[in-house]
Amino acid sequence: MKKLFAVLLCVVLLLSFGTVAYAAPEKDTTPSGKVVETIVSGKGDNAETFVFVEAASNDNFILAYDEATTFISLTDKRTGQVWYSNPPVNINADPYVEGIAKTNIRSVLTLNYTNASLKVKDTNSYSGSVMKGSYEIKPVKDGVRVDYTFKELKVTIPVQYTLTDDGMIAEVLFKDIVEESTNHVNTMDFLTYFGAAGEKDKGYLVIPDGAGAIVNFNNDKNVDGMIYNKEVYDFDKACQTESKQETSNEETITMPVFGMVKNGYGFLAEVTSGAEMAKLRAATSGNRLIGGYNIVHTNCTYRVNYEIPLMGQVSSETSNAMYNAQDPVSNETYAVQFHFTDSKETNYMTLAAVYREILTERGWLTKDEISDRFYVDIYGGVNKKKSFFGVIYNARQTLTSFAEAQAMLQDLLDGGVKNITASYLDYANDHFTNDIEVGLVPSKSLGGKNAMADLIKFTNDNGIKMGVKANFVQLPSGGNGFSTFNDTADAINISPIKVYPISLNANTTQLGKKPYYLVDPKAYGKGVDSILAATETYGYSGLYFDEDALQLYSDLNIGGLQRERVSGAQAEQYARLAEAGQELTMSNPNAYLFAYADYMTDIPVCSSKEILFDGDVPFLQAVLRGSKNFGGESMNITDVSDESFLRHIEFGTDMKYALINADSEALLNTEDSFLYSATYTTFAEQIKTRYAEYMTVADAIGDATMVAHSAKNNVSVTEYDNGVKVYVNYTDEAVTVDGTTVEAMSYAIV
Amino acid sequence: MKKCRAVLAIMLLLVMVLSIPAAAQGTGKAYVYNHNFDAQEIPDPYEVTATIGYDLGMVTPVDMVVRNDKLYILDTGHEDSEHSTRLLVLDKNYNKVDEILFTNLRNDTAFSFQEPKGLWIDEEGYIYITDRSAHMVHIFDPNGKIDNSLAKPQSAMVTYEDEAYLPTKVLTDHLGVIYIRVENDYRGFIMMEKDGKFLGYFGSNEVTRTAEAIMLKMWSRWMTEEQLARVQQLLPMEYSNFCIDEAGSFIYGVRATTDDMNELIRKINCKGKNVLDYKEYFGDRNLGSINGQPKNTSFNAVTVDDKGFITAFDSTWQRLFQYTPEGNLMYVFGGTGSQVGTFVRGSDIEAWDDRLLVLDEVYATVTVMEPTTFGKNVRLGETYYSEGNYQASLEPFKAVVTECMNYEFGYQGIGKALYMDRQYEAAMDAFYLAHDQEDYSMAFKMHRGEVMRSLTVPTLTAVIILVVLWAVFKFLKYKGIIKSKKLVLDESGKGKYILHTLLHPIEGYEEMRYNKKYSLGIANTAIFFFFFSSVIMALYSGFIFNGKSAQNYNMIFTICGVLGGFTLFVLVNWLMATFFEGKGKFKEVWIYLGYATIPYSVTCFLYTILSNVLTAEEATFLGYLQILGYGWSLVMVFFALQGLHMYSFKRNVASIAVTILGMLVVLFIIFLMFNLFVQFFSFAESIFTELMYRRAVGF
Repeated sequence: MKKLFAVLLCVVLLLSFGTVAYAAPEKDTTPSGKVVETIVSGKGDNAETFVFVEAASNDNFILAYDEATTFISLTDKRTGQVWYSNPPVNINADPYVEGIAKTNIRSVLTLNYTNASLKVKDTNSYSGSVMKGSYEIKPVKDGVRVDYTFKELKVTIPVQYTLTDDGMIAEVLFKDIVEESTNHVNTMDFLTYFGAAGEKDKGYLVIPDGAGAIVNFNNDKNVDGMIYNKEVYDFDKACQTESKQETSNEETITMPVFGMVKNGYGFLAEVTSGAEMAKLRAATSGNRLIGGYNIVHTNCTYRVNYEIPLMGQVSSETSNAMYNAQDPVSNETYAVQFHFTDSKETNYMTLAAVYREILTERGWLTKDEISDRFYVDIYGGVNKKKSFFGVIYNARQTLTSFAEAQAMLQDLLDGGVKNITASYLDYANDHFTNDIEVGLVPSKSLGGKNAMADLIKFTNDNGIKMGVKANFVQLPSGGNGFSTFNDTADAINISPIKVYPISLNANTTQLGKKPYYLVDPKAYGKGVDSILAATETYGYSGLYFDEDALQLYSDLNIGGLQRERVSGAQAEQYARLAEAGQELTMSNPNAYLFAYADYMTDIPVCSSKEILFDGDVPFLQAVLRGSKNFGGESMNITDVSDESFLRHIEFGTDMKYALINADSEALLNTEDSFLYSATYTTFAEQIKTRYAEYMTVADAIGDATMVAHSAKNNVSVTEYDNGVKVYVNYTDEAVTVDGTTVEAMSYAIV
Repeated sequence: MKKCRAVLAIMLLLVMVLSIPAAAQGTGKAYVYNHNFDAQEIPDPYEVTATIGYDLGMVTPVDMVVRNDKLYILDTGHEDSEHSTRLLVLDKNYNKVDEILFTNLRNDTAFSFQEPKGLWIDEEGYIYITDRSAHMVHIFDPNGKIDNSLAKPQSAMVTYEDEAYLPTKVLTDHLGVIYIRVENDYRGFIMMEKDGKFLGYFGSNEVTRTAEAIMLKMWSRWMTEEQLARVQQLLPMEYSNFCIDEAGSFIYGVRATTDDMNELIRKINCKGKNVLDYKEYFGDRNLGSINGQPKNTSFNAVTVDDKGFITAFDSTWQRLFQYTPEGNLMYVFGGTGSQVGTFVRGSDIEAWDDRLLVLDEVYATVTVMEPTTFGKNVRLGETYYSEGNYQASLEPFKAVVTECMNYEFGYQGIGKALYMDRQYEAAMDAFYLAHDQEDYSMAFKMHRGEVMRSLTVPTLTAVIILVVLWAVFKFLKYKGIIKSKKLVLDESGKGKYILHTLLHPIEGYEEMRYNKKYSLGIANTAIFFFFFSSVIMALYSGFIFNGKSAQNYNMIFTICGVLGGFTLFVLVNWLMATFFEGKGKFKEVWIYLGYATIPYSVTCFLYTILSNVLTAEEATFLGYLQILGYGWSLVMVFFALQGLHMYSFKRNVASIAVTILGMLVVLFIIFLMFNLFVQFFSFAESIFTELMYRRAVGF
């Protein structure tokens, strides 16, 4: 009996050693180069040593790697701050994570793949490759490359790091990915723990959601599974099954960047290749899936895969099938470029400035002539079902005729509103006949060609910039040279993408309603040809593209363009329009279109207000301000309160209203009921007074850039590089900040 | 055992927590239902002003109560401490002012709970906590020392076993009576005195004696137990939660059922009666099902604020529904998601002045919401109105519809205010926009009265003149100065013969065979009017009776229904005449039946006119008119066929029955053909799609 017990004990001991060895694999202790840093983490048996060996260096940085774990470290010589790809600590010490999450912390890649039996699974580079010793470290110019071979999957994924002047570029070399079996690589979490902040670090994550948001480290919002996860440039409608298109109040990510400020040091990372297929993810510490770290990173797509219901039926989960696109995405590499600030007092405004400089250098932001403006969306008309003696017909309900628009603009001018940028929507025959909006023939019901010509002359004479709405992307039905059969982008099942309206209460697509199609990117050219012809015929000098017209999607047909190429295809067309001398107004465009937008509207003054977020910041505004003319979302539709007006002042964002001339009752029983409060007479006075107030601020700012911003206890300060400070007080009492008294619910300029 | 439960709880938590979709998409758009029960987007009525709890270290808060300007939150699940359950006390600025730990009476040892669920603080500060698994309601003094524990009341009325007694929510009224909501107890709330004396059930649902229920009761004798269990569902559903208003005059109960949406919220007076004006339908409408599962509203919490507005929380969609004190829906907001103002698992709501607090179990937070300008205006208008301050209520309601022209409730408010201000015509306009037929009818009645009064003198004058003229005419005729002409419509007396037939259908139709006094032209004119009058009725009937259906009226349906139906009847009847040895030809059937439509057409015209001058209260008159007119036409049809085909009474009845049967057969065949085509096309489409899949995907 005793003997048996002893044997058992031995076995248990052996097993437990085994597990220790499993967690911390044997290491080759002889480093193969110059040791930059040695870290010993843990005590006694749990101790683990990380030896970082130099791979490359330049004037500002040293790039090093640990051979045993493939962790990399980046030493900033300017500040002395060291950034690690993964926390160089013994993970057994983490109080939160268990199981696979432990190896996730030590991984550079977390892989999502489809196996031979079409099951979607996850693995990570640490457990799948590093622990099995099947990886190879190769030196490359200015950096190092690590080939991770996932032995069981017969997949090799190379990752490469190269130094730049202000940081490094980290890449997943898509073109060198080898798949030797039927296991298909789908998506990867890349550098999940880069720069991960622990529980003792102070700082925040910067997320460009909407205007921008910060997430404080260790913010106690550690509900398990609460991970911020959002597609860069909004979700792809080709990858949304009919039952899964959801409604939301969410803002989108228009810039492929993220940032971190940690103990005063910080970086801004930009996805320079593959952003169209990337997701941005962030979480704070105390999360059972993440551990005791605050992280922000991207997830990249190598091959599109998503679930669709079989036979196009909306049915139970079990009959859904996972489909993979046959071919991987076309870009050769997925690249994230990290820019580190050399300041010890980095904040989100510093990071915004970094990005502004990058974009300026790239030519996406040019120093346009800045004049603070008033933006207005004018809605021409709407189809209304009417009945004449029991015969139902579509009547064109006029909301604002061309003459009425002219009178409205004249009234605004008379009221002292200068520098108007007007967007004219729903004025063309296309809108009423449910055609793709490339014909741009002014509707007779609104006054026809001549009245439009008068309006254009009026706007030109009075310095009003007017863009008429065009859209070469949304195809409501065949017509104008487009067919719903040949010219549509397809979903993964090779049937055209149909986008249905969403019901408010059941959150599902209303399959009974009329969907719209999306144009095959290869057919953009003829749409733009048609638009250009119309601008000649009717003398338009400006065009307006709304959010739907600017949406980014894939065509998943065989040989179709996926998102990463569609962005280029769209940019190409906007370049044509710009070259033809058209002034383009764009509604919250994505970064790759910044260069073509003369005016931007619908720039949000808030984020999606995720629970994870700790505050909204004018990150997007700080990037744009001083280089671009931009206005906010229609105040009378989103939020018309004084608070919202003050927010525009705080965020340095011009106002926009959506207006119609008719009484809002004209909208009853039409699709435009979202304009539930848009009649001009209701808002005329408010616009004039608010504009006058706003201009006192805007004149002081001029074309300065935003350099600092802070908000505390509902009082905010925005500082510009010409020394102007704008204080905004959202409280019900007057407050004094830095010697300046700001009245209740008011602002002050210094 | 306890440890085991704790482990289980953690596992459950894990399962539940991991199933939260990462960054679930938020909805959070506020809406309201219009008269058609379509959801209409409206501005947010409430906005989030604070989120409490990230720094309070709560684990699983289960219930909260606002009392004496303090917020009490019952937090559970502190497994690392002997005090696994604790009570947090927050002041008006949401600062923690106290944390009460529960102790046993003698030696300050920690009081042990099994499954604390509900919390109540009475006026003296005593703390009531329900312990579901312990089958107890514990009462603690204001310092957290146990005072009393109440077990299941010993009464013949409480029929179930001790183990089935699962108290989850508790409250007391100002007399100190304790009300307990017990899981699975459909009889209502248990009423007890503080010493545990059972007082009875409160707020029981009345069992509805529908025919179905009675039938089932009979069947139940032969049912298996499984079937019987299913029948249990027909019993009135239990309450899921309740609250009491500040004055203690009403208890508001909510139910979690998802199949019968009536009386989901009840405002119960001291006699146990539901006093809400609107009892009909609560929660979301027209949701359909998702993956075959109904996703109906299921209320799990309710609160009533200082102005009497009732807010209920829907655990299915994590939405808040706010109703007027009468039970009329004002707006719906909230939703599932990870954005501020959306929830994962809201477990309780509380009103604090005009603020609303929502407790989320998963996030362990309390979300504080305050009315926006829009919300404030709606509430202000409604409050003024219910206080009788009609003039004042007009202003806020007007602001509401300026901010949102979709908001029928706002127009209704304007209408009611104008009505009380005796501006009936303006009120009618507002009620018309609100699509409120009932109130429109009231305003119309008053308006009609006014018009009538103003028209009294001219009307009387006109009547007198007419009477005099008539008398003079008669007199002259009597004297022979005016010679009367006989009424001849056309075609040598055929027109006049119609009148005769209409008044004497049996004789008229029988003679018609022989005197040939019928005309195709007149019949066709009658059939045209048959169709035309139907269209007129659909288009021009008054709003009170017809709503706004004229706006969506499509003549196609009338063409198919009236003309198609008539033609089909004539055709089938003529065909069937072969079997019944009927003598009529097709043309004759057409003409005879064409004549029979005349009373119907006249009725339609009359109805259209009268519906524009009568109110809803006088609807019965219109009903009689319709019965009379339509009945007359039916009688005509009957005798037309009898006279034409020379049938006996019995044979005629049989022939009509067979005609109707024949029509159904024809319709069925048409329907069948149509369906076949649709199915064929959808089959072809599926095959095409499937082929495309295969071609593209390859596996």
